[in-house]
Amino acid sequence: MRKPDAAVIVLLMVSLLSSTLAMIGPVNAATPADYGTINISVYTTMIPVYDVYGSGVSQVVVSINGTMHITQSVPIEFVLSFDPQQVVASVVVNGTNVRVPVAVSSGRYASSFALDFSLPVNATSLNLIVTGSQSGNSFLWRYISDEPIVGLTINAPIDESYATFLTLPHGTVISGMFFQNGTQLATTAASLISNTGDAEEYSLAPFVGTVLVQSTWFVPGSIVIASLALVVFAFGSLSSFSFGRRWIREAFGGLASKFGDGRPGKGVSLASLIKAILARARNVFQPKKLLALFLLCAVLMVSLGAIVGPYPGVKAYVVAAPASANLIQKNLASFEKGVTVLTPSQDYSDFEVMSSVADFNIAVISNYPSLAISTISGFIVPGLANVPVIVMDKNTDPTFFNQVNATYGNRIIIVDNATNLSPIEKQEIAEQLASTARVNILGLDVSSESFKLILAVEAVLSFALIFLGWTFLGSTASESMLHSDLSQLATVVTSGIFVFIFSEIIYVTTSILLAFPLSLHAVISGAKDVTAVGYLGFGGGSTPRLAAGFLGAILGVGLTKGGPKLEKTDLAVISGIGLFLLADPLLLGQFTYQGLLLFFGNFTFGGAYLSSLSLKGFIYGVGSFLGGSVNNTYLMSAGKMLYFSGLVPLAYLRRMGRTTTSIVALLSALIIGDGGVRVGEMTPDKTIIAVVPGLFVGFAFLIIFLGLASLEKYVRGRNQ
Amino acid sequence: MTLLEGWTRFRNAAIFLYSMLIMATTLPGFDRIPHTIILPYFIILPGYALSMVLRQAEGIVQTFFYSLVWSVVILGSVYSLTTLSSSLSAIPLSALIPVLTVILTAYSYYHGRQ
Repeated sequence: MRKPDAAVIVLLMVSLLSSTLAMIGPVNAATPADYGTINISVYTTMIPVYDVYGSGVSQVVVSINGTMHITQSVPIEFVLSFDPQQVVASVVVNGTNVRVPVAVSSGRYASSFALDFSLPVNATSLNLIVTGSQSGNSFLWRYISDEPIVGLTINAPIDESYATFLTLPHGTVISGMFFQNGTQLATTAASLISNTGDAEEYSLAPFVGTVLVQSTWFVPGSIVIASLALVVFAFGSLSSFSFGRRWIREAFGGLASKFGDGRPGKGVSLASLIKAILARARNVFQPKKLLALFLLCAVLMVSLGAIVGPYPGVKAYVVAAPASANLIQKNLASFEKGVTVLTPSQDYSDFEVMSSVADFNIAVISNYPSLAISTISGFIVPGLANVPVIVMDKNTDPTFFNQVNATYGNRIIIVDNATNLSPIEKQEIAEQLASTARVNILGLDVSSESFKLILAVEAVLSFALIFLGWTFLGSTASESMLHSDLSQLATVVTSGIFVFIFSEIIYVTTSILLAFPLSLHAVISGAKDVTAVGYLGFGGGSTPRLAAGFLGAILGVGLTKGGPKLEKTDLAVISGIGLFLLADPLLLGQFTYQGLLLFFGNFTFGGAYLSSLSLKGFIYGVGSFLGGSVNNTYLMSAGKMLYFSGLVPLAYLRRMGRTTTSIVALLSALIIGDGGVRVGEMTPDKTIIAVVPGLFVGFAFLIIFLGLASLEKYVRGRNQ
Repeated sequence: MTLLEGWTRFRNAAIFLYSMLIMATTLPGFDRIPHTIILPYFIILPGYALSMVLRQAEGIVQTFFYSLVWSVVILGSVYSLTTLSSSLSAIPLSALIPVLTVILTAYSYYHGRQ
């Protein structure tokens, strides 16, 4: 899945660059129109998939036509947010139609693609057709897709115009459109221009960033489900009060007698079976046992890493144009076994973390496009300190060359051309690699296939570690409900800090031992061979870690002896509210949907996204008040602070009312589950600075929860 | 009037007067009030008022702990909110926090929490 942030960066950078280049164009006297016009038309045919969770593909055709009057060859670049599969370019020069070769490269601004070519001297018109595809996401029977972006960079003051068209199959409606910054757009941003019966074509405003569509049956279906949810909620709420229970008995008692006598029958055996299973589970769900399992899992991860690691091959980080990166890999493979290559397009901004866990044996820097250097230099230059061998060739962007040379001059092997190494250069690199190589402590020669198998096992264990740690935490919170306020707070907070820091330590240690990151935070989703969890198909592993943490915490709270008991009526109330929020087709439901997409879809738009930014701003504000980000050593992480904030309400479950206990337990589990995702970030400095502000943010949340609890007690006190 | 009632009234009066003094620092001409008098207020009193509302002011250790914690939480939250909204940042903390403290104290008194 493409990171939406990258698309925004592309658009902003391209706009900035275009305007800058336009200002420094070759001639100042003439207006842009004198040099010509380029018209960009983007046609997207969306094929939506309506599923609980899945993906779909949109076909994209970009037609670019232009007329110009230029007297010298002008380089031109189009940056695309989608994968171009076919590119055909032609220009008219001196009245003759000429085909122009186009260089296609990936990894521009991390996940975008670039088309580069030059307009020849005396070119009067341009015709470029790009055919490609872009993926979208299906989530809870709705379909979301970003609009393709085409950015133009040309060193001449040429006017440009932009038109976007979207074709949807019959029976599909646009339910939301959003600007690149997440703001919702009015329905006027799309206008119907044709309807063929099978499909409808819309003209979109050029600033539409994300489109949300749904089937025409979605609204009636969701109204039915939302109504049912309200009925469940109403009965659950009524059952909470004595007058309500009386009313339900009187109103439905007769009906119930028609369907059964209400005495124990066959259903009881199922109920007793569930009770027996829960009783068994409660024997395991004790803090001491769960802590032992948590530690066992940690020891297993480290032991496996120590015995099997490090990675049995040479891992190179190559900063070069895509075509050159392949040649560099071939060059390295000519004298080293098992060379794998990673480029900036695959890791996004995680190079620093990857290098910190000794992931790379060598870094090779070559002809990475100069225009894109500024987007990667910030995280590459510091991270190079952790790479034992650095090779740089003379095709490197001069400014970047000087920057790296000034920092690591005495360690760099400078070669003429990294895509074509001479025998002497190869020998020097091989000697450096041999002298800095790590070997298996037992002298084992682990095959690449066996190593991948172990990586998969470690990936599963990394999720198990989160699940067990968070279950221990939930169980501790549940058990300590018998203690006083302060000792309960002390127990939960210290346990929570220990669980997070210890988990992160195990992630870092195991990754270092394997010379392979278990997981990463910002890695591009879908990357399969960058992390251990990637081999299981989870990219950086954020969503499964969230699920493991949430599930663990909620089971820990619910199944521990002495913990809060979820009554049937509370369950009905909470289920009713949850189902209504999911199914509601109106504003509240849309807000919930956007909120869920933040967690599961990696799509950031709408009111929920903007609210999350406000919440993030509040967390950062408290962090600033308590000393975060005063320098680059201790940088704040809102996610980590969120985890520590969730510990405080969890420690005060005993102060809540009957229903609010369940609600707070669910929300706390979600908060610590979401914050716990950051264990995979493997940045202990950020953890240290997040603890104190996180806990104080948790107390701020607690005020709200205690207010809710007071309200519940007041209502129950009046009606019980 | 019992001893407890007398103590409660004296405490509330002291909080009220101390809050007035802190609010006065926002007025022109009152900036000569020594900071050594102002600092203890922000460290303890807002949190103490909230811990009374939440019925956490029980025993010396617990009262002191919660007073400190809630004071930092109130200050941190208000500071954070002022960074998010320019209209809020126009209100000085020296006025906002004492007003909040007085409201919390009054609430706890009239609802018979302590």
